[in-house]
Amino acid sequence: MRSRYARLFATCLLGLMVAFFAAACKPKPKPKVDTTPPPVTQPQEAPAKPTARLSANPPSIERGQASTLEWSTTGATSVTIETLGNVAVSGTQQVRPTQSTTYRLTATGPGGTESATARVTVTNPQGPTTNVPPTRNPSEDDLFVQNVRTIYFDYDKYDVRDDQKAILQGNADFLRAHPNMKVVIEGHCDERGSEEYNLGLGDRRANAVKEALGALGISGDRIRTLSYGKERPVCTDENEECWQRNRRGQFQLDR
Amino acid sequence: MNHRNSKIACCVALCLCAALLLTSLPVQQQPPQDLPRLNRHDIDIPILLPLDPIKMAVADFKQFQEKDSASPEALTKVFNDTLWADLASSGVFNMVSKSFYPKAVPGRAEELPVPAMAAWAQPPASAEALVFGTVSTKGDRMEVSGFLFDVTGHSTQPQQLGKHYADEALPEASRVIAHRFANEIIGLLGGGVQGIGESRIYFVSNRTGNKEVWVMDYDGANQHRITRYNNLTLGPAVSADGSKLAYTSYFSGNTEIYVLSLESGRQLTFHNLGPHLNTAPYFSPDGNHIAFSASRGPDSEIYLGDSTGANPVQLTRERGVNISPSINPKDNRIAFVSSRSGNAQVYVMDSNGGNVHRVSGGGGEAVTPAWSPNGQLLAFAWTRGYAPGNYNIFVMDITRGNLVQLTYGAGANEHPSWSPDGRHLVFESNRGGRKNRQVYTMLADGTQVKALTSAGENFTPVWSVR
Repeated sequence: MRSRYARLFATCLLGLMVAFFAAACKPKPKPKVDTTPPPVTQPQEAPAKPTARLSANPPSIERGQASTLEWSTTGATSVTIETLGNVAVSGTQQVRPTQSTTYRLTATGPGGTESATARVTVTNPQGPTTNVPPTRNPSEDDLFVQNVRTIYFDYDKYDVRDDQKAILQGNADFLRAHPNMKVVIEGHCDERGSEEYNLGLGDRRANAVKEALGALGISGDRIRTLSYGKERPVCTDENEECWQRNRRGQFQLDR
Repeated sequence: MNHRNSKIACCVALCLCAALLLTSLPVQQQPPQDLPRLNRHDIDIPILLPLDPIKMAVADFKQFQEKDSASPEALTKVFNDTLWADLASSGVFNMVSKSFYPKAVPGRAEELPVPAMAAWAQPPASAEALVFGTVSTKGDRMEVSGFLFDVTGHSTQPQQLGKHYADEALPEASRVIAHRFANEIIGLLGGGVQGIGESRIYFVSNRTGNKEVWVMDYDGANQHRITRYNNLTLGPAVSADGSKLAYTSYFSGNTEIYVLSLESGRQLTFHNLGPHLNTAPYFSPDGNHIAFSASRGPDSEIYLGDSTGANPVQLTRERGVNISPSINPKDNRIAFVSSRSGNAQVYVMDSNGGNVHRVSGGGGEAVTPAWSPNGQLLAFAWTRGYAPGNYNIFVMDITRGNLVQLTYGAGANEHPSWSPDGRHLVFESNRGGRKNRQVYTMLADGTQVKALTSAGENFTPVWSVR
């Protein structure tokens, strides 16, 4: 009886030992090497044919409502969307077409050209009333979303990149041509900083865009800045493409 | 007795065998980092945790019920669970498993005569201290009597504590009594530093669909919402006496600081400085000032103003981001985050902005500094040795510059905040899933990591004395 008890006990302890060994021998995750931030999107050395993706969400809207175009490309040095003009290699843009529209994206790179399309179907609102705010001319909203574009930043940086300067110039030209428009520049960050630091970084990005517009002759009185830090991402994937889309200075009409 | 001895002998033999086997195994999994491992004996900074914790037995309290009274069963269970958890997580005791206790468990002090103590001091319990007592119900009231005895036989006065509590017969009251009694025990045996049983943690949760400020007991119980903006509310800070709460809200359309009296529930006046960004509030130790970050020009800078935001004094004048001030509770020096060197790093300056020096040297990005209650240690999140965004919690002994890493690469670990007793840290981590940020606590040696939240995602915790 006594020896049976001891044997049972020994078996249990052996089991525990095995579990303990397993835990002790489980490989510990090796810390990754400190890497520098991924470089900004550069033209590819090998001329691979570009790829392009474009979608509209929602694909169907009532007149006066907005749909969001979202696109991404690879291997492209120049990307255009019909009626929107030159755009970043990936991004999002709100559109408010007044009639059904097919948006065509053309991605051009050293490896050739690729295109993608997305259609936004516009339906008439039900009943005699419309959803368009009566106080503002809807065509001004359309013009704004079609012409004013998002500025993108490098990781933990707030200076306006060289490849973003033409876009900023385009925004300045549009605002100069519409002197009554006021804008909010929202500063956003990718998910990798602390919440608080990103509030500061987003603020600094928005202010950098405001300063750069000032240098192009747009009065600071027309511009309000607002930092959202990492609180309002446009995507939540864990890769450089998504992080780049989130590191942005986004324009809104100030109402 | 013979039976038990054979079991122990068997156990000891097998453990010895296991130890021999372990030491003879080739050491393949040596961690590659050059930093100290999580062994209290190796940590070369004063973390207030004893190297040789007291061996503590905590007997389940006995329950008694007067005629026509509420059942004490549920109340006693809450009491026993809470008392055990408080003492086990205190960091100052080595808890003796209940399975090793003698059969005869005392309820009243007179039930533990000197000869009976030996049974607790001897193997297998081998306890140095014993906690026991009773929970009784009388009508709709409950009474608790709790005792702490030194059972080593070295003391001429074995009874160290005898406490009596009475309250309504409610589980919540039972929890509070257990916290108070645990605080007494920890205060007595933990070098005079009071326990944290009644401390609370403020944090941000998105569980309602919007980020709001929430509060919970230090052990995760009683989670409830403080703000109801249905907007975006971030970064709570609480005054040292636990009477005032500050946070950042987008309610007005700008990023602004709000201050709330936790005693009246009323919003207090705060004059925001920057036209757009006002954030990262932090109360001075006396509660009369608030440090914060605001941008009047293109750069965010750190200011120190009255608790109403009046009379702000600008402390930094650097390009870029200057944010996350934390004021040392003893000498008022301010730790903060700045991008002045090119990316986020932690700096310390005097309370007038002078004498600035960088704390985080040697790669990576460092954010969210937090001073310990005794002002000696600075905890912060650092990516040193890891990819951008993969923060770990580090603690630095600020006078000597010694450093210890408390978390090791399990996702992002950031925003540490010290418990009032300086023995614990609360922090935000996504170790349970990249898109699953939750609030965790751990001892200041990196052990006993516990998740406190699970509903929605939860962020930026700060520990409050009450």
